[in-house]
Amino acid sequence: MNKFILLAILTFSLVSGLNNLKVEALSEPSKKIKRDSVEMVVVQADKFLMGSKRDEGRADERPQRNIFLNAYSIDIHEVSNQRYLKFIQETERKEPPNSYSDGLLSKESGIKNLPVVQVTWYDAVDYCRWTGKRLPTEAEWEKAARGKHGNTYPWGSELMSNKSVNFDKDWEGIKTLWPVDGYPESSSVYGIKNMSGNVREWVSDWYAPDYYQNAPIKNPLGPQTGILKVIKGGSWHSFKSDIRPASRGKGGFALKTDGIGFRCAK
Amino acid sequence: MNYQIKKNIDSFPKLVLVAFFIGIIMPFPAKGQSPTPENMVLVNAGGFIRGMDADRGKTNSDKNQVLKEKLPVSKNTFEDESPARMIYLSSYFIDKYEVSNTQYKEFMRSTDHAAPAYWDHRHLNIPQNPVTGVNWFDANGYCRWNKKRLPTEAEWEKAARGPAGLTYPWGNTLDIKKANFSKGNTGKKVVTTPTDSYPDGKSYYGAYNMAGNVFEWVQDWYDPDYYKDMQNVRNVKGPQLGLKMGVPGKYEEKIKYGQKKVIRGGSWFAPAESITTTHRFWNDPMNNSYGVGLGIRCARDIKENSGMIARTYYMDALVEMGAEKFKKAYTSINKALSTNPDNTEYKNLKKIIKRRGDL
Repeated sequence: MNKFILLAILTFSLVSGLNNLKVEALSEPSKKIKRDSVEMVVVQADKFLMGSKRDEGRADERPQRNIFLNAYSIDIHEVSNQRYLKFIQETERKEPPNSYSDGLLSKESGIKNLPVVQVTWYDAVDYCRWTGKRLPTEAEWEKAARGKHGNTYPWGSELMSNKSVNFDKDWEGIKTLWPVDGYPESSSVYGIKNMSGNVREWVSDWYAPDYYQNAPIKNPLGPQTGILKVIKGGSWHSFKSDIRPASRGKGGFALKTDGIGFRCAK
Repeated sequence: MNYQIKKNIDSFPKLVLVAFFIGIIMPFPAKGQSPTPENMVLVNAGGFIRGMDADRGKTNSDKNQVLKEKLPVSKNTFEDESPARMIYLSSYFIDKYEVSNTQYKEFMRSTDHAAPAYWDHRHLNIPQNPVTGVNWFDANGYCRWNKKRLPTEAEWEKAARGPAGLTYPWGNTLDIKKANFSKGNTGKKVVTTPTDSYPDGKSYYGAYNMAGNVFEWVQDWYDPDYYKDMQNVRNVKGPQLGLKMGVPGKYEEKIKYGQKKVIRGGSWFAPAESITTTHRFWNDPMNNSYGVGLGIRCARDIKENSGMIARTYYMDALVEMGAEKFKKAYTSINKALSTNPDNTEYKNLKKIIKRRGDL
């Protein structure tokens, strides 16, 4: 009898819990149930310096212009294996290839807090959507990394050694990628981690080499169409010029490597 | 004997014979020529057979059918290698090996050039393996930085198949021990192999991995009908612009519309059909990473001396005579003789042209 009552209470609380969730979902139709525990920061609506000045950086990231963005929030960490594998299990998808051994990624130990890699642009889009978020635009990503004043690197203007930033390294198995928590000294002005190095990150924009010359100065969303997607921030194997947040990596949306991951925005 | 070259040669064996013939009457122009640069090979001036006749393609292991299943490309594309015909090229150097990750790294370090798409792929970024994940602009930039250039499509094909018009760099039969390409479900994880791998599969001129490993960008735009242009037979540079590829299908979805550049040679995960010396494939010049494995091999001009320029006029005269354009041939042979008046070959050809053209 006691057991029965306990069960009834449990059932009731479960159902009411679900009801609460439903109400939440209904009251904010654009946001789905929160499935992702990662901390996010709000980047306030404002202008920022995007791109590089003459004689700096590469041709495709010039000129430097003032771009206005509406407020948005962005994950302070890259998506980890743990978070990504939860999505894989709940949506019954196939796991990404395991970079560390021949077994399944989910059976690998010591990798939970490392950024997920070997994901395509579509994988990244699907994950963000599943959490009720989206991929950041290239402009959002760049502002989150550089702040308003056009920092060359997330932390300032001087390059740090690869003891504080994960770049210019060779593959060393499980030691190659660093935990998504990052180091405080290499965070961006908004406290966002690993914007330079560790993994390159998918953003939503198509790549066009002349986009920085022609983009609208308010909330640019990238070209209408293209061949390649933009990948920002460089990775563990990149050289210094590729880990500058203004630098524009690119790849086809089916590209998968041991150095491409992502983070979400809202 | 030269008048054997006819305008429309469509039979393959005859072409092979002519190729050997041209090879014999055009000995290596060794005088006054720059020495072969390190890790490049010399391809001598002369004729070679470009392309493969459509009917031959069909009997060749049902190649067209296989292609149709693998790649939703336009119907033209199945015939883009035909007709086979004789093309004349001046001498040039071509890289003995595909460009390696080590070499590309030097380029990146010294120019701040962006990393290729597979730079952080742990199996593809091995130093001695070919760089992969470069688009046409990267490939072109790398070759220029190295004081070289991309080969033309014809130069690429000649370097791969040699003077005898081979189907594979090493011969006429497929041999899985001589190239790195997709060999079906062997259970092995296949990736790129070092640029000096498969020495038994090198071409007549000594170039490695012209079949398989990575696809190689060439200078030319892609047009499936380009080979049907019968006018252009000497130092061909491809069409002015590529054909806009507007074929429906999954591959097209990815690659979208626009002009394409030619890629050659197949790759580690391309099927056997794509590693023949004549196989033409295409990609968007901006693409660095869709599905094929894109790499680089460079070429370099040979600084021609006056003797070689005379040789080119002599080649022109041969071609024009073959096309029964005797007046033009006569002008050309006179130009050759104005530089090298004592050359007996040139004098003999002039006599033949005069007689045949009633000049």
